Amino acid sequence: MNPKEPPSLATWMLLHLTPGPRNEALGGDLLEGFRSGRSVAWYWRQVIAAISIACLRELNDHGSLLLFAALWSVLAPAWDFLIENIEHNPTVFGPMWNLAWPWSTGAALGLSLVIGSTCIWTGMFLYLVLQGAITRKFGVRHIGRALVMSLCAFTAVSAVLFALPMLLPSSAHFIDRLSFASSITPSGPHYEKRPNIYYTYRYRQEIDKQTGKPVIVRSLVSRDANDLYSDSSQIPPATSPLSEIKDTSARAIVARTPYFLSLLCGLWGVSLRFGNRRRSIAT
Amino acid sequence: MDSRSYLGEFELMLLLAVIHLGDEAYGVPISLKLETHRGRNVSLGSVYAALERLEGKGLVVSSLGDPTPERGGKAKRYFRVTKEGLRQLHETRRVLTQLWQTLPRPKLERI
Repeated sequence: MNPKEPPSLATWMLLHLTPGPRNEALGGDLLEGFRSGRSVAWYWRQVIAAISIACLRELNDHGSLLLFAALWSVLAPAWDFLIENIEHNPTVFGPMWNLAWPWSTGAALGLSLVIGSTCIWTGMFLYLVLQGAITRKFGVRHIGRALVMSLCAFTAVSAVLFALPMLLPSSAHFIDRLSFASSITPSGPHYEKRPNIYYTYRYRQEIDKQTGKPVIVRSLVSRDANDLYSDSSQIPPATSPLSEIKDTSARAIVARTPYFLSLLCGLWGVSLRFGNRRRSIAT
Repeated sequence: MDSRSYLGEFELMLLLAVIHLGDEAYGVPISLKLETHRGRNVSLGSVYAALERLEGKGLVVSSLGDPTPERGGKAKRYFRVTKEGLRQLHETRRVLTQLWQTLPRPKLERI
């Protein structure tokens, strides 16, 4: 290695992992210090310290955003619950569920995306209003970018969370209601081809024969109330939006993750813009 | 600005170092000066973080110099203390001087 050149990895980390306008000056200072006789270890220590300080500062600057995103994502399951009730209404969405594959899958995914985005964008709007950001001067394109960023993040995180269970061999994941019904019913394919069948979830309490304890059984039922599939895996009944908000199970936390990350991705850039303005440099 | 917001130890040292260095007050000399007087290593990242905090309070201003080849084409960022910064320094010194006067002398033990 050329003794007058600092470690390239450390320099790359400094340039890419420390936000803000001081990168250039700090990088130049470190290079000057290194070329004046400082050691490689000194350079690494300085870079790691600079990155740590910058990260802590970023988190500090976005503390209100982190808090808001956490609170808003806690509400997300309640939103899902309300929408799911509408979603299972045959008169509203029934024709969509009976579309042939892959249209039914596309429609289901599209609907989930629209529903999720509406929740996230409502949160973003509320945050910006609370921060007084809308009354300040910043371009509409920044809001547009924030909306697009949040949508991309929501799609990506949801896709990952959707795909992960499929990697498990015992997974009973389904894409839409038609494919689900056809895959688990013993009588099989004739259900898939029957038109105008609407499916919904029904929860009921039963006594477990082995343990003697009450369990919640979730059933996928058709319009004529025939059980197509029963799942007694201790699913908590979704009785009200409030019970969904109070739910702290792993399932609920996973359901909140896309909302939390999407809000951060969408609003981080907008918040950062205010931070940078505060730290502007006279040239 | 609230005149009662006094400077911390590190901020005080930074402002004094910037004043001492005059037109040459940028990252490297500032950190060297602090290292000389404190007798221990100073992180350039913490120097910049503190200076930016002071800039946010209006106690210093910064400006970029020309890029130089010995710094890999990167510009120096010069700092200068503002009038408000100078006023706060004097105020802090006044308060500290008053407090120092009440410091009792340690009793010397005979060997």
